[in-house]
Amino acid sequence: MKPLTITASHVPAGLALEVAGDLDHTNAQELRHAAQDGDLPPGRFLVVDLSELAFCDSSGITALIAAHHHAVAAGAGMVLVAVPAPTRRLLHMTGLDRMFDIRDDAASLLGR
Amino acid sequence: MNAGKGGPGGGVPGTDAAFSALLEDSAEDLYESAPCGYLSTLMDGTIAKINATLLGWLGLSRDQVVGRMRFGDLLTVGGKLYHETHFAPLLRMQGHLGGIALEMRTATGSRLPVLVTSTVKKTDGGEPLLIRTTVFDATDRRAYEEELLRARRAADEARRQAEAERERLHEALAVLQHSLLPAALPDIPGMETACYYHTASASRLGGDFYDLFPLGGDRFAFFLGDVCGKGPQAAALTSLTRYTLRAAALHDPDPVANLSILNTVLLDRYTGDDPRYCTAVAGVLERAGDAVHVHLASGGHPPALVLRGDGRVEHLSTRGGMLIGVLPSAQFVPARTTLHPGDTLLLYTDGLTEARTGDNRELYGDEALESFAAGLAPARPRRVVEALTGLLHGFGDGLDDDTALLALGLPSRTDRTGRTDTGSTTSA
Repeated sequence: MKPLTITASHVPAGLALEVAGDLDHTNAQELRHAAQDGDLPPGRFLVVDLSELAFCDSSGITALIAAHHHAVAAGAGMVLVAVPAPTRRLLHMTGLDRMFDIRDDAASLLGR
Repeated sequence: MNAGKGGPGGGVPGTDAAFSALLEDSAEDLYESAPCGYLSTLMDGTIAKINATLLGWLGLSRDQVVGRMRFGDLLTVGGKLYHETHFAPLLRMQGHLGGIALEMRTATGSRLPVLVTSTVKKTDGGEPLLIRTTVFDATDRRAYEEELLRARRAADEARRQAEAERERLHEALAVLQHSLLPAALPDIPGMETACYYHTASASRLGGDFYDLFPLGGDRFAFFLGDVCGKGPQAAALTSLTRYTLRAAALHDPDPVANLSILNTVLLDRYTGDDPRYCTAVAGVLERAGDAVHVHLASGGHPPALVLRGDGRVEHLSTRGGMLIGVLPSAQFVPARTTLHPGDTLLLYTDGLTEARTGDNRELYGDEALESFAAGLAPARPRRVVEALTGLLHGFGDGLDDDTALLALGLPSRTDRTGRTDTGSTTSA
């Protein structure tokens, strides 16, 4: 088990959340709150960087969906960056790869 | 000790004298006013001598007692009985008896709990002469013991209530759980059906569901799925999902339309920051001569497998079908197949494929399941569910999610009994 860390930062595109470690039913709520509490102006993006995500269960997927709904309700968009293979497979299976904007490289969004 | 240092002139005589004067004026006063009761009785119990302390406790005068009463007369009825049957015989036998709890009766009729110690004084010849007894007031101690007993009774009662409460909750959960699954699968002429439900936790309501029911004529509807989460919220979602799919299937034969209706219902019920969704496969079986046409649709669910009578295994791809209850514009993907004699259609939830196996806790996975099925095929539904149940048991701790299995098939021409099997277990 790797502890979950969520690091929020402001980037040119909007709000970036770096999600690292295991995202499961014990802590998925933290991701929801991070998305809800962050400053996300309309027309910008919630950029969720999953490059250091070690594990994601269905509660984690639920949190991603809740974050997506929150961004859309705020008039913003949401982008998933560097989704690890197992999570990508899960998104594929559940058809969520159609809903999420999934990108391998989001250097421009993150301003790096 | 000063007293041991020899006679007069030794030690510090002035201090000794002052000490004695301070301590006791006389042995008689010590006897009469000691902080415990003293009495001496003849061997038959007749009281010969009693101190003032005990008389005071009992509210009796010396004249009332000495030579007139026996020790037993000072006790309550229960105490007297115990004294005569146990205390006195044992004392005569042993010559000494200590720390016996008895109850005395005072002149006002109240009870006095006491601790009694008795010694038999004997003559030089060894003949029993009299009984010396000390009596300690045990009121405080008795009150303490009674308090302990009361506390223990209260704790026992609380535990009984908690156990009964837990029992009731357990029953309620079991009833609810059963309301989410069919009691038995219906008999479908010419088909064999089998199902299995594994509950990951006996105390938590599961989130998997399945059903099979007649639509009239030669048609039957089925579905199997998995709601997000666990516990009461998941059970409420399962209930809504199950009855929505049932009603939709009776209304419209198109499985894609049925999943769309469920999608609308879930989006309407669960909004905003608390999305609740499910994955499901729903479909219709239609008899056509010797075969059964299957028309199903999936929303975010692992693909159904078909174990063919010739030993092949196919998965019915429904890739692109989305989770149900997430997006208003969700798409659901249909698939069709035809079952011939010897073919078995298998539906399962991801508890099976997401189980952790081996030392590295690797996901069991879709490929492993297809290989396992290939090893079984051809196999009738009952055999498939039996084998998978064995596989699930083999996962042990690695299986931490609910798992539902539903297998529907046509027995091969040489193997027709058309039996229906159901089973379920709960792991501790």
